[in-house]
Amino acid sequence: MKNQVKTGKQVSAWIGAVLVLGVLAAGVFAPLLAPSDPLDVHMAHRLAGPSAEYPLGTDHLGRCVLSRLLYGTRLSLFDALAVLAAVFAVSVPVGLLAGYAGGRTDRIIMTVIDVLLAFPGLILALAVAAMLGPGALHLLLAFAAVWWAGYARLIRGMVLQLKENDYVLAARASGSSHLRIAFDHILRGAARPILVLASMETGTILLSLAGLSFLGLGAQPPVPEWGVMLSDSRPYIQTEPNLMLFPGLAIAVSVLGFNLLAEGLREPGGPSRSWRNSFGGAAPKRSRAAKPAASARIEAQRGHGE
Amino acid sequence: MRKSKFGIRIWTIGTLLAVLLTGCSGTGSGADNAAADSGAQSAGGSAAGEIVVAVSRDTALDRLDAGAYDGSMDVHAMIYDGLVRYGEKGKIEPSLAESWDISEDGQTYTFHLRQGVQFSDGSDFDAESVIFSFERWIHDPSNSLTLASAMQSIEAVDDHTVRMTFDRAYYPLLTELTFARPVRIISPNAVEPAGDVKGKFVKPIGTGAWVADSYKMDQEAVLVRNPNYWGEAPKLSKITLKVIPDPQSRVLALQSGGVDLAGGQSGRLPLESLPVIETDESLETMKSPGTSSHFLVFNYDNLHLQDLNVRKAVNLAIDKQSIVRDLMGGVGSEARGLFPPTVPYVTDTNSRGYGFDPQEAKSLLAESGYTDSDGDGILDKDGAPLKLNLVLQQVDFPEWKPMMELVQSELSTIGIDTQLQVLEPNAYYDDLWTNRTYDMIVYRTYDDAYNPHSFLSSLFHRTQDAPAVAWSDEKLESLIDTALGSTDESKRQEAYDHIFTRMDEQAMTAPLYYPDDLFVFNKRVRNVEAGYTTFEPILWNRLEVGE
Repeated sequence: MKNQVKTGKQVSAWIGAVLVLGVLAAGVFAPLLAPSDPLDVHMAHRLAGPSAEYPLGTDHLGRCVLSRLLYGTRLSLFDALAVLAAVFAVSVPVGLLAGYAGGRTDRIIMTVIDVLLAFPGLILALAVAAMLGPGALHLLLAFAAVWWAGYARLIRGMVLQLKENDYVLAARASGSSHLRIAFDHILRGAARPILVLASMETGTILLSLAGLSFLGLGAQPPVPEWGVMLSDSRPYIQTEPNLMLFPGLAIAVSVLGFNLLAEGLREPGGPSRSWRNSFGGAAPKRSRAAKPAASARIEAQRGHGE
Repeated sequence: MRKSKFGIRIWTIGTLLAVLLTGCSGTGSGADNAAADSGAQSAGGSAAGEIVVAVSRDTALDRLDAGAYDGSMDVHAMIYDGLVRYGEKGKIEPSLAESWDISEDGQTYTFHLRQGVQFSDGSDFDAESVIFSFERWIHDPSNSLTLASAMQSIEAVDDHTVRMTFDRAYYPLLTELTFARPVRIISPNAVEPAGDVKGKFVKPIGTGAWVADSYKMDQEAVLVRNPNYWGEAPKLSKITLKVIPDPQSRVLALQSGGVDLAGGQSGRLPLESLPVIETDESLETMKSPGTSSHFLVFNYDNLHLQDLNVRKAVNLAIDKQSIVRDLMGGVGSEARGLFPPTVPYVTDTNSRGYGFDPQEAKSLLAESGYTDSDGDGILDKDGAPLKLNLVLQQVDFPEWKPMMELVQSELSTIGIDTQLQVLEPNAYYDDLWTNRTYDMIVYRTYDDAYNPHSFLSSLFHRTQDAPAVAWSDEKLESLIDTALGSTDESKRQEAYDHIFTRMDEQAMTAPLYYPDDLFVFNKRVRNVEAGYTTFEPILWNRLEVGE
């Protein structure tokens, strides 16, 4: 790393990392940083401007906006991370199984995935969340139930490529168990793109969660959450526009942070290296280097590549 | 490929969210432009007396059958007249019936009809058209009006006299006759084949002051003055009801001058925008006292809430003045009893309510044996913490969320732990009417003509197969029976005095807020006066425009 010329992308990766760490720290240390209790209602101080006591002013119930933002990090960001964990907990094994096992197993799994992907993800999550009833946990489940399909498919595509590699064939020839090959050789090869994907997706999920909370499906009042804070301040857009500004900024900054970080993780060596090329960094060699890149991509994208 | 797929995915979600988040303002600007265009027209034609009114949803003018429940109630009341009308505080006033007699036993009503009245198509109004109008829906078993279920016969005594007989005495029958629907009178020519009670509705023809002129679904409905109107002719020649679904856009349309009047329940304005409206020199506001109230229903199956002191403490802990002043922009008044004083039979003495006194609330809870034995800030008794859930919805009533957050924080100061549960409207209504999984649920009383009798019967009186919904009290139910069956005005007042006093003393509900209807209008509109019912929010016939 030290020897490499710092490209613009690397700088942005660092910025992303700093932003993400900053937001994470804000959430973890919220009790220490918050100037007051985020749930404390003071009707006498409602809609107050910034002051020493309330650095970012107060909302329509006289609650400290800064404190609510800080505590909101816990819910907004940590929920997004939890959804991410749940999504990958499902999609990684499923994608691995489908790609590695192939044949009928693959066909069945891919059919399920295709059905799920036939619906727009956010709308489907909305439907599942509405069915389960409002609540942060329900929203989390709704997202995990809908979101995994896309990633399982991508991971399957990666596995399809990786399992043709010489080192995998070698491992198979040397009698390694399927489990060992799948997890040790193939998954390790796919680790980097999965990490990039995860970082990128945190931003997307954060945004979607905030959107559904905005619609009243997520966190229950009076718990502070960024999407809820946005929706609470909407009626005051004409009279108190900064009420809407702060949670909006918080969401924007976090999403930006994760996206910049993802960009940086994706391309550590320099510009314009696609993901598939970056596998080379993690995996020793490729089996059929001569294989045209385009056909490999098509195989990865195909629903039922045999 | 993959790269772009991701790009597209993120872009799609981003766009979706952007649409979700800004959806309202997005539609707003479109509506606003449209409103501004027609505003130019109405300003040009103001000599003829035309105004544009913003409403939140489609009026269904082409389906506005007097005998059906479809479309805008406000417009029903503009096009069709009833036999009687609802005056101040429920006083029954003559309309198409000039006078009426009620038999001793309260079961026979004889209406003497106004003579020389014509429908808007020029045909005559008479006893036959009254019978035609009623027979179209009176035998429909799904109709919930007592008028429908209790009616035994309706007959013409002569051309201008109609007699109705009922199987029981029920004083609110006359009140039901003031409703916007389905009791109003429609011309037999409004259906095809003409005069057939089973005929298909084709055109709204009534005796009202206004006639349907043109209609564009989801856009606008135009009403013009009825040349044959029997009463004092309206000053305006034309009223255009423009559909602007987003509240914020209605404010913008008022500010731009594209709309002359908006507000009330058919075009609610966001109270948060009041400061902006009040600084606008071209606009004026009018607050008319409403007839509904918002309140907490207590679940009588909850052990804590069966204790009168707990119910009183909840009442005392809530600062009703702060709700009106701080949350509702001063539009409304401090809640006392379940019904506001604009409702018939409500007096200062029978509906005192509870003030705001957290100290008293605390001592009442202590009196009942509640202490904070484990020091967590939540009171408990016999090992059971005083935890209550509070159900609300925010789709139909967005103001409930901040209101309940305030209530929650106020209850926590006296040691009651409240969990808020926001349900979507269907789940909310299921919970209210059937599931009853709530400990407390916020609800509102019905409007005007349904108060107090209809609301009391539906929430505080058992039905054939279920106990009362909101609070079950044998004594209250028998008092309601007495009030409803009484034909004597003073006995009825007495019965209602008992009802309201008992509800108050037993703290059967926790009243929160009496909303007012807020209207905002351009200063060029004159004589803006509020009506007495929700479906007649403005006395349309008196409106004038000046320069």
